[in-house]
Amino acid sequence: MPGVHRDRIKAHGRRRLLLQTLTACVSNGYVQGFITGKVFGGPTKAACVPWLNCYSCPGAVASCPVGSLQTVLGGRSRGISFYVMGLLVLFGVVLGRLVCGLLCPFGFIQDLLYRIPLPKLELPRKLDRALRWLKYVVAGLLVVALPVALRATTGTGAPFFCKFLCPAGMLEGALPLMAANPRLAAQIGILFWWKIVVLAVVVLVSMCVQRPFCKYLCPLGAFYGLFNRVSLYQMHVERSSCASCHSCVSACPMGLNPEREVNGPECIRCGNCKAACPTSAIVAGFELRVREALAKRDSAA
Amino acid sequence: MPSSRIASGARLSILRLLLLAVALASIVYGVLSGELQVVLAKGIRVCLECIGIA
Repeated sequence: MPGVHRDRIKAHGRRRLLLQTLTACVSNGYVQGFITGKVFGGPTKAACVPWLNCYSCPGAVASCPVGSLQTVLGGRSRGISFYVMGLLVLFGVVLGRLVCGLLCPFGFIQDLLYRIPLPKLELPRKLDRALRWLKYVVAGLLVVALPVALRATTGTGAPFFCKFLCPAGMLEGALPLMAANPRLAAQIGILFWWKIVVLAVVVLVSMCVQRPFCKYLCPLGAFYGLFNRVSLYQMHVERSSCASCHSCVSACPMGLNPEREVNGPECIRCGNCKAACPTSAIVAGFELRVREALAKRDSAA
Repeated sequence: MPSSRIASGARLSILRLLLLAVALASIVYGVLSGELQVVLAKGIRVCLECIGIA
């Protein structure tokens, strides 16, 4: 691998790490909360961040869109959440799954866990592809159908995804809150231990499989993935420049072949493929910039 | 020529504009109908379900 190319991959890795650290710190910047064991109560909590970030994290300065969506769907007086759905569509149309690849703190945690030097696993292709449908079931059933159904029968719903599955709530919310607030720790019951098991499984699997939560379980990723083909942010593989060396395939944390699936619903737009491409055949950016890059290349040719 | 190579075209632009308009209209309607208060009320309290207590 030529030195310049290797440097480009390293520089991309550093830039991505910096951006992920920055979003994690900014969206969880209420340091006092970690000391007092209380959540932030300011007005910015009325806004939702585009990524999965538990609003019960003591540092969280804004709300989680998945939690907020379930709250409104299961609320006494409302059937549909225009505000949260509008925000999700807006983020989806502008960025698609760029949110997952570059901004999400829980994705960042999975990236860090995968750096732990343990044997790495690759699931059989058929099993991997089948499991990827799970996240749509999670989104449809736990985030939408069950809160709405429970509300219809009992009058109030429950945030099923947050309650039974979300590992981010345990890692970012429960553990720091309980470490600083013994009154909460005294209320631990069977549900808590269930969620600890879920968190432990996600953490352990993340050390051996890249981004397992994003691939198989995240309802937000499932939703944003639907917008990848139409979002303003686009990626493009210039086939005439592609050497078919498959460097992009090896670099993809989602186990995709960027040649075929670069704007597919599974692509998290992390940019690893673009950085790994030795012929710079992959361009990415907001569509206008992609067009400009291609036009420039055409005129040079 | 590049326009034919990337997923683009007039129909895609119209779809994007439509989605953006729907998103913005939904946000405005949601804010005006008081959803901000619902989100805020949930966000400023510890979500017991999220931390595995309730």
